[in-house]
Amino acid sequence: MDIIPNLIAGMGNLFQVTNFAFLLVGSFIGIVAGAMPGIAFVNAMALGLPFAYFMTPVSAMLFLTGIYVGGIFGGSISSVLLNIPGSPGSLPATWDGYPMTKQGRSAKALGIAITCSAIGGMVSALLMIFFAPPFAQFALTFDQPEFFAATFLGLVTVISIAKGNMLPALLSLFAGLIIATIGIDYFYAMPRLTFGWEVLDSRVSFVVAMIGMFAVGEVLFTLTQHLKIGHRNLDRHTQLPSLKELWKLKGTIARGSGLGCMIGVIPGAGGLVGAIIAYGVEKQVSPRGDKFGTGVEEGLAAPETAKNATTGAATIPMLTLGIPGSAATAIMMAALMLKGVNPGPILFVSGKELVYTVFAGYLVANLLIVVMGLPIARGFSLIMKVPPAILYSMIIVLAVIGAFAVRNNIADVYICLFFGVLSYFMKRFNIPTTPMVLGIILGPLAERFYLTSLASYDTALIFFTRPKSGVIMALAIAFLLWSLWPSIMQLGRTIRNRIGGAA
Amino acid sequence: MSTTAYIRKTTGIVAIGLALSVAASGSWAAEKFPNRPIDIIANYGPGGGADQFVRALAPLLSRELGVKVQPSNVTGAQGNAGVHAVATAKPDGYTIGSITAFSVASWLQGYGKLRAKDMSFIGLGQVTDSMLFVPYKSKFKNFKEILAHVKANPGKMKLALGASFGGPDDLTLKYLATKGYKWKPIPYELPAERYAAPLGGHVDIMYEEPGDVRQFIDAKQIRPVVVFSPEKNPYYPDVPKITDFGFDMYLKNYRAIITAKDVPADRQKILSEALGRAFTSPEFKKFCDRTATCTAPRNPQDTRAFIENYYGTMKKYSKQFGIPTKE
Repeated sequence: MDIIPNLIAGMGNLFQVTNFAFLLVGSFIGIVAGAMPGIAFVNAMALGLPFAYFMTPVSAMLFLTGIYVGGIFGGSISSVLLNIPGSPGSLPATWDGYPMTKQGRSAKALGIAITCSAIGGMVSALLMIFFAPPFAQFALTFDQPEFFAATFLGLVTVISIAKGNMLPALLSLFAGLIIATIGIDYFYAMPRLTFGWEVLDSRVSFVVAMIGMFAVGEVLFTLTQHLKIGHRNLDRHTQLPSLKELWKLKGTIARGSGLGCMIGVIPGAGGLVGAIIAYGVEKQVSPRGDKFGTGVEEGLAAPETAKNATTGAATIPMLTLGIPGSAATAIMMAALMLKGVNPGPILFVSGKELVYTVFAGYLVANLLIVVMGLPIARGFSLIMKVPPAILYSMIIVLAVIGAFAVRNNIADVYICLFFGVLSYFMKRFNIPTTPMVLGIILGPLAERFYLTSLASYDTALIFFTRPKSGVIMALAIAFLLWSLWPSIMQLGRTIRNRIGGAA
Repeated sequence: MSTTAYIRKTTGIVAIGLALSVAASGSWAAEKFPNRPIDIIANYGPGGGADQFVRALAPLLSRELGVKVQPSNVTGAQGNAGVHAVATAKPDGYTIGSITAFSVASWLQGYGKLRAKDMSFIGLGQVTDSMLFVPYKSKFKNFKEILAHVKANPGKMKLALGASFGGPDDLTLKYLATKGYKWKPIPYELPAERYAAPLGGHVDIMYEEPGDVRQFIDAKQIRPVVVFSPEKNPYYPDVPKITDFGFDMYLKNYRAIITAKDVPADRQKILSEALGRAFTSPEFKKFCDRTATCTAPRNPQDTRAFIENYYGTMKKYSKQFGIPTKE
């Protein structure tokens, strides 16, 4: 075992002035970009790539690691303070984080978000450091049926988000799944629901839809309701949870870390799916599950831990195999390849120094979240003092820029604004918007994994007969029954009463 | 009265200003091209082959042209969003961008509204063969054994390919099927998933360009068994050619640089000469060697001929194999 000496050497390398400076700057950019509604941190990484061209491979990787780790956390700042997720992965943070803000507990909510993100990220960094090669081999045993089963689990968790009223949530989810089919399908290259509009050929980007629904929609709704975004009497201080409070969350954090690490290896899933599944599972497991959505600590801690726990797990296949599973890791791999470094097993032999410096970078970047997250969150709390007219215009401007930046295409801005208006009407009629976004994100994944599984194994039974996908499917079904159990019991009682009454 | 005087006065100033600016633009037109930064658009996202191509070229073109050449990405519609952005930009030569074989092939499936006639070609700098790869420890020693196995077990051997219906890989498989060799195609949309498939033992064989999977070849995780080309691949000379087995279909991938159709001829000439020098520079040689894509650079006429010819071939095969094309 030469992991420890390698890691120490990596740490030494990391703390060289330029290397550390790049990690620091990257983390700062990541947290700020992540926290800005509309600007996804992946945009920041893509914009950072050309700069990486002028750095050494190690500095470039640390710079991008900083943006990645910082960005995936940063989104939660605006989730908690504004009810607008700054980055996709931070969507679940709005469900219990924002209610805490409304109760005047924003300091505590931010503290939990910061601490849990950091812990989740560190668990996943440790996984990467000590188990990267075996974990990568394990990840390789996952084929399309396993990916489909995990996506199915993600779709099922939508039920846990539907607070009581199942029908509107399902309506919203299925509408999202239909929107997800828009575009030229990749299997037979047939245009679906494009109405001859070329812009729709390349499908609706979920990031664009999400910016529209949450940033634009939130502003529209708030304006028309004469409400104010955020809470005016904000506590400007962020209150990190005490050790005792953390200890109370130990189960939540452990589950969140585990789930995040597992979901992280699924290509295309990323922080959001990890966070949503962690939220759904926590809601079932936690004794306070029925209170989720009203500002419960566990409801914030679980997804926050999970989304940062996906970072290391998503990076393992990229570094060890040269297989990037997400947009963020694809950009990191591009940076390496631009510098003539090919990731893969050989890198662990020939580029040990680079690999272990990056490992050290992940560990330290998650610590930096705590150090830098506090002042940046405080800065954002100050923004809440800005007059609403200015704040709202700022959010709309950022949303437009963010939507444009996804593909540098003006059509995406119109699509974003369309979703903003749609989300406004959905809110007016009490139809939840989150299931629709989930449908838009998970729909294409589910379709692709399902069809490729069938192409490969010919039968839909494969999802149950392959051991790993079977276990995940069983979990999803148990989850479904578990969450529907009260409704089923209720139905049974009603029927029995009817029969009893008749007799 | 004073208002009228004011209007008159301002009109005068505006007129002088206009005259000056016309004069300025006239002299600017006569000035040397280029005299301000040039945008170079990659038609795929950061990290992809087209992006690497454009980012490798940008500093070399900057050096040749003496102005900054700024790369950016416009993605979507199988690379046609980027092509559209370049071809419909102001035809002043300050916007250029990449086009790839896959974008051209996707025209047949209804992507993009522009065709080769709607753009100007500046040059072509990368050509790559496709190959079939098996896991390094595969029980099949060579392509001959694989062919025998496929003939004996039609539709059983799993082959990972890109998820482009009617794309070059799909057409190649359909061609082989007409010769009595029927694989079981498994389309993987994301390259990452496609590469993981043979590594994880989920498929038996994979269709891919060597430059994209170089790290796996070097790490002895996969090995090439055949190259779809009538010539040996210079980077993998030991790999047998598809023509050795009596087949004559080979669709190569390439990357070229385009600009808007109406860019003045003298500016196109300046751009193509600079591009030619960039393509033959040692820096670009290093880049294309690393990605196993080096080729003799083509001038604008040859580039157009190459691309139109490729499109014609794709169209012919699509018709032959009953792929509905949406022209």
